[in-house]
Amino acid sequence: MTRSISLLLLGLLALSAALLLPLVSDSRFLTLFLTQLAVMVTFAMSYNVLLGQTGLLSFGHAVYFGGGVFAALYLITAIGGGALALPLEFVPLGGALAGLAMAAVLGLVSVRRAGTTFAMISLGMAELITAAAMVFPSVFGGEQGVSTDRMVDVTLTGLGYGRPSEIYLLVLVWALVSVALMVFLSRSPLGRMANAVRDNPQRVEFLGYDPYWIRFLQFCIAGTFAGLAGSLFALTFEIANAEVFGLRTSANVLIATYLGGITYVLGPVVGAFVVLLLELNLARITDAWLFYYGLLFLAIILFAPRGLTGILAGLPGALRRHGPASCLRRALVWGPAVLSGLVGGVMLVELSYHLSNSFDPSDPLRLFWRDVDATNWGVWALALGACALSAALVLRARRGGRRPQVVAAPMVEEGS
Amino acid sequence: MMTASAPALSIRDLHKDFGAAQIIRGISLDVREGSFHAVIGPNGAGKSTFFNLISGRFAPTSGKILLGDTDISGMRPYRINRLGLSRSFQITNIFNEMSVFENIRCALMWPGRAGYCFWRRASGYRRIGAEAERLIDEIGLSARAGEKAGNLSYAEQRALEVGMTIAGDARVLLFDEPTAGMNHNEVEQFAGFLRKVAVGRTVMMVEHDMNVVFSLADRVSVLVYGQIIATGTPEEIRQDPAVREAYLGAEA
Repeated sequence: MTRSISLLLLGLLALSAALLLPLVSDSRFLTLFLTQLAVMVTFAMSYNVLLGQTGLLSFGHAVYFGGGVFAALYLITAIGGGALALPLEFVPLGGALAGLAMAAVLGLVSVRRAGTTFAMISLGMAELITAAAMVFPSVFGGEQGVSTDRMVDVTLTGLGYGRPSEIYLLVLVWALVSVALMVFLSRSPLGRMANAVRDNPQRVEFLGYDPYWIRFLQFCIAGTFAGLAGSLFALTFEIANAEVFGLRTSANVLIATYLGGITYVLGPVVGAFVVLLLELNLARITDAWLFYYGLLFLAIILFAPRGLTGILAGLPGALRRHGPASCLRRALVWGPAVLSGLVGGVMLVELSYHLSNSFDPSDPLRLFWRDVDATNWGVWALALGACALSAALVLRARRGGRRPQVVAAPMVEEGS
Repeated sequence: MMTASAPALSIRDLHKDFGAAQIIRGISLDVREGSFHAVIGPNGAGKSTFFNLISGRFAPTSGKILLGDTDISGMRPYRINRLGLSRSFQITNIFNEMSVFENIRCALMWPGRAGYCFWRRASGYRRIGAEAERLIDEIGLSARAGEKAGNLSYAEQRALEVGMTIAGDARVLLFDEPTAGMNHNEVEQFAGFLRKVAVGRTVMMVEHDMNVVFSLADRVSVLVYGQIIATGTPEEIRQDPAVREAYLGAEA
């Protein structure tokens, strides 16, 4: 009970922050960041309806997102041109409908089997749709894409939606409604049976349910909210080309969802936040951001399969089990090792990138708030030294002995 | 002829081939309403295949399976289940990542008419929830209701497996080696539990433990090389010379 209350408080806090931040600071960057975050959260949550809830690994979720994007772009243009008397606020419904329609058609063939078959079909669908979209530049606009103008006369609230903060409000409301709906759906009988299909589809068949229908309905739900997310994207950027259907978009949502943690209902929210933060901020700082992005993804897969949310959710339990003193000691032992490793690694990566990518390698490189010369061996030695220090600290920390306990215990018994 | 009651399950000249291999070679069998019918036989006799044919996992090559009056041969498992036949598995077959409560509740969803509903909360189905709690109590897992099924001990998982099978209102139950892998004490406890479960239902069971078979079953069929060589009361089976030769052999 106390846990759900604290969760609720946390949610309210985050919500009020999301509402107030753009009003307090007049930063366009912040507003745009939060708008994109809302879009990404909706998209990632819809993806997790497949991956986390139903156990369907899709490489082509962007298809339904893209469907929503283009449906919304044309809808907005139609409203602006006076052909349609729909208030702009309801455009996301059109996107959702487009996503649903596409999922209902493509889902029929996609969800016959789970596992590798489903993954491969989703990949094929994505390629197929992207290629098809490229062939029809009259509809999808080819390279330069399709654009629209969201400043239309027909709105419900009377807002013009020209300013970023206004469109942010609209996107936020729809994102919140979507997230709430998806959480609700995950708790319905269908949502629970989807979990069962994820764990053991064969057994589900012997409990009176057809796994195919469960997968299909979940696929439609995922498609619907992906389409809705796509329409929010269209409202925000007012332009898109056929690339949105492509693998880049699909991979992005997969990574965001997985980073956040697929076993948690709200895990994708955390993942979307981190991915967007990296995409927008890291990209401004370093050319090697994709490298770090991939590295983080790998680290999560290898060391924290329950994602960032899993790490966060596991912290209070670990504190309680081992006591704060022991946790602090471990942090003190492992902290410097990880930190020096990170510093050394980042230095090496940046130096290498600078040497191979800049016109003149002897140009100063901005590294940890200082200008350094990448052709100077001293800075390389420093980087290698940090790495070596990290390795030494890791070795010492392991010998200090908390981690290999499990392995060590039976061996001692054998020897004695 | 059995005049007491109509058969709950009736198998007519059932055949199943896998390629050139004939696994089930013409089984005809009536399982009377309300009886506890054991199927015994040596390894590789086709017992599991027989159960897989009845429950719909495989389609028969030829022959008929009647559940009451309905021909269920070749039907998909979920349709057979909806008609009132539920089965357990020899290898524990549960939802590992979900709690014990969720496992049982999933087994109650269809019988509880929750269907593919997505517009109501699962916890809103009070009757299903209450029934799940009652059933968990019955299989002795109340203290573990919130535990992940994958974390249960082997015997607990077996109990959960059977619990999922008896959830709902299936008239005919198939148990595929329910006591496999249990120790002596657990087997004895479990046999008592199975006897309780069987009251008012028709049960068919594949079992290796002869003590369990002879203490629970009122009818026994002996399956050897895909054919039933004898059916009768436990006493008749014990005496049957063909059975003694083919199967019980050294044990009897």
